[in-house]
Amino acid sequence: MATGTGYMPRLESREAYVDHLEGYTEPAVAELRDGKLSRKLLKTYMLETARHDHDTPGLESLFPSRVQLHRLDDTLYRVEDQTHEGQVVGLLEVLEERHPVLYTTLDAADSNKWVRQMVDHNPWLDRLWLSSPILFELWNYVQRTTAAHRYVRLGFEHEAWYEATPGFEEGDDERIEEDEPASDDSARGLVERRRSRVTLTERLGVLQEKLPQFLGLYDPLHSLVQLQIPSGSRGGHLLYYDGHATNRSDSFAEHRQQIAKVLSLYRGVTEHSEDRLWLDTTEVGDDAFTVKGAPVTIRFSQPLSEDTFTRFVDLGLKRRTSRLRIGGYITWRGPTKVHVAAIDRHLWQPFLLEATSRHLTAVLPHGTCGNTVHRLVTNVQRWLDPNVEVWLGSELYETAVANSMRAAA
Amino acid sequence: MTDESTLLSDQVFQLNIFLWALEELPDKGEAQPVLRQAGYYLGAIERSVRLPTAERTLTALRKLAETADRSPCRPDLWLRHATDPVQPVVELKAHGFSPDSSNRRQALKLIAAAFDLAPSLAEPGERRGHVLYATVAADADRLAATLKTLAQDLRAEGAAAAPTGAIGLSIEDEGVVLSSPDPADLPAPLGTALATRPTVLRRDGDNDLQPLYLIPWIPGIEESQDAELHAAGLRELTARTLVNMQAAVGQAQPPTALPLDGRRLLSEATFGVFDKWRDADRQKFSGAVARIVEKTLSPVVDVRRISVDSREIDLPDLDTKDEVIERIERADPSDPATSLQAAIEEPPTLFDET
Repeated sequence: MATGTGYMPRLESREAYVDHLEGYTEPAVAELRDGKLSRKLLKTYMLETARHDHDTPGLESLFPSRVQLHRLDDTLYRVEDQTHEGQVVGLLEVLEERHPVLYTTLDAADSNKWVRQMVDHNPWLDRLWLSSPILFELWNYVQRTTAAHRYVRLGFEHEAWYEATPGFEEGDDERIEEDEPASDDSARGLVERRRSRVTLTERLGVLQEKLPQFLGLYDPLHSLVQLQIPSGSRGGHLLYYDGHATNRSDSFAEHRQQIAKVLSLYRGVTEHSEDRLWLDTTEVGDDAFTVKGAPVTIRFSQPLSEDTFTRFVDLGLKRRTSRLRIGGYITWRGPTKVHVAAIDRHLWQPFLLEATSRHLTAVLPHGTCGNTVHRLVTNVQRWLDPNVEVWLGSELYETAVANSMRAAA
Repeated sequence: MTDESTLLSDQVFQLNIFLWALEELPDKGEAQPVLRQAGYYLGAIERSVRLPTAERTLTALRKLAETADRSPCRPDLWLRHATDPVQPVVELKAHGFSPDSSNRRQALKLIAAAFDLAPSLAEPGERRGHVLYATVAADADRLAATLKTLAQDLRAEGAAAAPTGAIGLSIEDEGVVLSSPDPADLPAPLGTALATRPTVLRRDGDNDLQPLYLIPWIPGIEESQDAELHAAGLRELTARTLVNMQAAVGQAQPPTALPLDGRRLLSEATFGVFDKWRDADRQKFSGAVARIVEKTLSPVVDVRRISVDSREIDLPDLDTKDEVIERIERADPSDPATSLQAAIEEPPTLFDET
């Protein structure tokens, strides 16, 4: 149950909701006078309806029966939840064909929980995974389009979770919730390992000058997990790695516009990845065949130690609670090499994986959702090595992202 | 870890080495796409090469190969090049052979048929082919001589013969190396590439050199394959089938009745290669997978028999679905109860005909 007053009113049209949400974060005169802001920020959750080989269920049946979607027009739905006494928990808009977006004014704790309940055990629905290269490309877009005096916020996060620490054994449960910050010390006991969480809020001109130097000096800064895109007037649109965004501007319409821009980039790079990577056999001649497709390769900036590799295989690939959400059957090919008949334990899509102390190579069968690639890159940068190089076949992932941004321009 | 000389002569290993050499990959990394870098890409696996209709060639073959068999040859690999019009057809061999060996007939037919590939491609004009045999480097010299002898024999009988060459695979300090006893015998771009003895798969410390297999299993290979590698291939195929079973259950939306079809699971586990297997192998393996489904899942759900190679289970709710997934996760591909190796050797039961 939501604890605050973050439910939306029950309105009957897009226009009415846009009027309601436009300027939603603007404090009322009375609120300013009283010194307390009762209104909650608008949160947006960008989702992905995973592509499978067979048909994806219709939007309404992607959600449990307790959730009702009331169609307001071709692409906008009012979302009501019986466990919230039938209140309106948000609006769902199909901004891109594959990407429904939830707008909500619930408290962040409540909205995070609600989205987690919808997504975590649903093989048809995933979050968007804004990997560092995608967020860096959006940062490039900000640099090209924003005045140097505007403030920009960048957040970086890396924890060497798989780094072996002699003398310490972790418990079995290493699963964290997607929205749990990495600063939850209680879960980490006395183990010391590399952990970085850096937020920079600075004028764009200063960041443009200094960030390249910082990146060269401190590699956790390659793991970009937050970016605030400045708005046209004041404030901005804060994007998080897990496809969640907060409207810190004074306009819902502009927020929606920025979200559409992100989705367009994301869809471009996802579909490009799928077209390039999907391994499949096609008929040639009477009964011959050929093999099409290419692997995705993630190369570590430096080889993992044997202990760290072993821990990575044990926690990241073997256990049901893996925070990479990868499972499967492992065959050891030496002290720092395994082959895995692997499965994405969220979308339940199988793939092949070679993991060594130097790289991960994944072979994705036809139909695998490209989201799997973005999620893998995001999680590897957050938990294993912040400064990886990623390749789609022989093409740098960064190049594919940049090309998708150009196409979306 | 498998003995490296055994691995090198294994045709599944050889096939996968060629596939990685033709793959689209970054220029840094342990696997190097040396054939792709030379401009080659995969045209087909096991595509038919049709014998010519020229009487002189057929007569020569009848005399030299002592057979009137005019069925097409099916080389393991058919390569194409970005600019060079010559298309190499490649046969993979565990070892070299002499002109009098049992491989003589197959080699003579392929050399005669590959002289002009246009009829096999239903193309107008001519399309020059080039016959290449790949084997362990220690035997490549002898194999190159054998192929030359066979081609000369054909020409002496007035038949057209494709040029021939040999490719050697070796495992050296730096990794798996491709070479040729005489690069001048190869099509020009390939000769240039192999003259430098490129490393396809770089050695990485003490790790096994085996790459991730795109094709882990070739039906009918059991007689020529090392027993340990044969078992490992079946274990890998079992593992890939089990994860596809997990995928089918994981993607299901309870309440539902879920069919688990052996053919479909094997097709998905092999990127569709299973669909090209011979009928007898397809039947044998799909039935075996259905039996594995039954053995794996019957302790937790009622498994209904739909046909000899298909079963069905009910997933009434999420708890049952989780229980079924957990059961599959705990299955061991090496365990006789859930392995393809054991399942394909099981005698047929009374119901296997239906």
